[in-house]
Amino acid sequence: MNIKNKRWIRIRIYITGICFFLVFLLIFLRAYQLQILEGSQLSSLAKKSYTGKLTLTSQRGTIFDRNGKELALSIEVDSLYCYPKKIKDKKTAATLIARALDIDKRDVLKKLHSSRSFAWIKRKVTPEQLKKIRELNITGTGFIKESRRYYPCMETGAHVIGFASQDNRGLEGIELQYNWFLEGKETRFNRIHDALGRSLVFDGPRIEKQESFNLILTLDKDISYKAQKALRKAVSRSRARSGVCIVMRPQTGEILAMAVVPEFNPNIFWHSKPFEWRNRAITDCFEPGSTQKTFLLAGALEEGVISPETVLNCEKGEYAIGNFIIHDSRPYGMLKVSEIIKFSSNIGAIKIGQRLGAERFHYYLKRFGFGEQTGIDFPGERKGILRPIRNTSLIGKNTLCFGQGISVSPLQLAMAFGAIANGGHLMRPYLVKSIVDQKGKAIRNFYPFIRRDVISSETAKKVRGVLEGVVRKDGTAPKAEIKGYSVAGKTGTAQKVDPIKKIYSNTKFVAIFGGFTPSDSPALVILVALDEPKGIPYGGIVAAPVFSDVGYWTLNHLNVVPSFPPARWRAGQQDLSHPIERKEKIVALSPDLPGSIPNLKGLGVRDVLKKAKQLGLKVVVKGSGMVVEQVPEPGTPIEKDRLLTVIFRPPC
Amino acid sequence: MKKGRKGSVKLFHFFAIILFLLLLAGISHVWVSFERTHIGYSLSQLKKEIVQIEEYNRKLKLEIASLKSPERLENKAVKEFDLRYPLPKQIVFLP
Repeated sequence: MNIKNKRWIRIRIYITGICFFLVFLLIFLRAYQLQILEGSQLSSLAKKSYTGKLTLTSQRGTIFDRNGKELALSIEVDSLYCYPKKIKDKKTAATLIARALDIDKRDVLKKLHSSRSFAWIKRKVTPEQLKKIRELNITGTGFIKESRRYYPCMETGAHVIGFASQDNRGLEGIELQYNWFLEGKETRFNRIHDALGRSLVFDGPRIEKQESFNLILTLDKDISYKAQKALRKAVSRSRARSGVCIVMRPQTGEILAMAVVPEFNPNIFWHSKPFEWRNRAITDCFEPGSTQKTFLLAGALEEGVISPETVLNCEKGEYAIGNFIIHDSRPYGMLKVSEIIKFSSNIGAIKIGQRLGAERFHYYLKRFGFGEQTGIDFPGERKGILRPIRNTSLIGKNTLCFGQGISVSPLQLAMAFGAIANGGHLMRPYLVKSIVDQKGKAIRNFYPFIRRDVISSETAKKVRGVLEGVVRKDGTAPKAEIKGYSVAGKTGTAQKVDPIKKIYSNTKFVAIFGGFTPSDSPALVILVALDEPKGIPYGGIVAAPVFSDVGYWTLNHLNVVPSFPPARWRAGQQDLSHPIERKEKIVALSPDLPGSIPNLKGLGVRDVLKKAKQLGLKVVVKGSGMVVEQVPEPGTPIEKDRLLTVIFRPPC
Repeated sequence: MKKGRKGSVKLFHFFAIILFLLLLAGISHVWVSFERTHIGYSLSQLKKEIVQIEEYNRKLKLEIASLKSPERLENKAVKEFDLRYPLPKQIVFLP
């Protein structure tokens, strides 16, 4: 190789080197530009293309009754939407959609012709409709998941629970009062997705987390159902305008049931009118009528101005106060205080009131919670009217004794009866027992709260004794009697004021019965009020049967043992008005030896339990139907604390 | 001359090992990335399934609540099974 060639090779090497250098320099400069100068901007752009945020709307919380049964819950349903511009043959699409959804074709067509890019066709469709629309496969339509509220008990407890709107916002009742807890907030996640938009993983901490909470109410679904049913029947039978039935635990102030008629179904609340949504137990007020005499009696006994045995002159049914004459339903003469309450004498009540004094009576009415809100956790509570005593005329002071010139809500009245029932404590009523998170952990509990002590327990006991007389055969409310249980209560038949004539109407009344049972150890306070019953308007006739019906059922439901067996039961006689048909096959039994285990084969559970109770045996019941086997065998001598295992099988 | 050749072989071996390790690291990285993506898809799918099952569970709860509504049960008991409320004397209270 000559020198010339060697030089040429070197030049070529240099040229190649320079080229490489320039290319690398270019790459370096580009890398510098991308990584250093525009690095942060480009990396954020890249991140945006594969990461995103997913927003999840939390489900509205569930509302349970006191036994954990669902009263309101939300589930996801599909809503049909469309992109009007993407639908080519709008007329055919509208016909098919309208047929599948069973709605007016013109409405659908109007939505498909909408100038907007997005339009709802029908929100919250049923699964059947969803299937039909999916089968149609119309381009430009689709479904979005939305939450829908359901109330499985329908009318039962509806006035307490209220309802939520389509957008899951509480509109009435507990749904409105506790909306903040039930609603929950949106939850946002960071996510990584692929080019097709499919989520890979939920990454990083949640940006915002606010789950909805569940509510546990004091209501009992079964008691509420019974109260609603009994009230519905009473309102229908008496052709009343409306009715209210409150069932409450006097020791705690827990509301077990709050039934209102007219009723509505919260699942389709838009089909009923707003006045039907109103919880009249809390928002409506009326004059308490003769039920007021209970609190007059309590005040007078507490002050010691009378005793149940004090005899007062009832003026043969006519008593003049100024220019007014007060009448009684019957011309009573001399009556004991207990009889005044039992027969509900207005003149007798005035005489008690005169002994107590108007100011002291007014003081006790205030102490019993009239003229102020009870503090229940429910929207729209009214406090009623209790005028200052200095602004009240002489006749007004006297008529106040039998419940005129004052306005109270059914709930106030129930709470005041509760104070008599529980020994003198005025409780705050409440509807929500606790607020729990989605895992069931309580974040807030509500406890019984004594607002104040109104009367002593001795006075309360005396009042209870007097009120027991009201439900006796010669009292004003024998229909309130509950077989096997002692009952104390008071009737009221309050005249309504004619809004035009501004005088008391002789045709419009509110029939009331308030009371508690068992009277010696009250487990329940029940208040029933019917507005404008037609025909006989007396509280003892139209409202008391509801008390008896609901009370009997509820006491059984709560396993409250009867205070005493009914008279017929005690005498061992059969109730001929309700003959019991025995369908079971009667099995001839061998005579039982005294002091030994009887032969129980062929008997039903009820008979076995009765027999075991008589013999003082403990029974283990297995299966249902009739006895097929028993351990120990019949004829075995009965030992102390003997356990009897009885196996039942359904009859063939 | 022999020494220089031996040095070159060692250097070749060294680079070969480095290259192999780099290759191994690269393959591992790709494998891990693939697994990560795969698990990511599985996780996402499982989360979807959980949401669906939870929703199904809620729907079943609603159905149970509707089936157990006192009105329905009472209608069924009275009309289908001819049951009646017990009379006071028919109720036995256990001690």
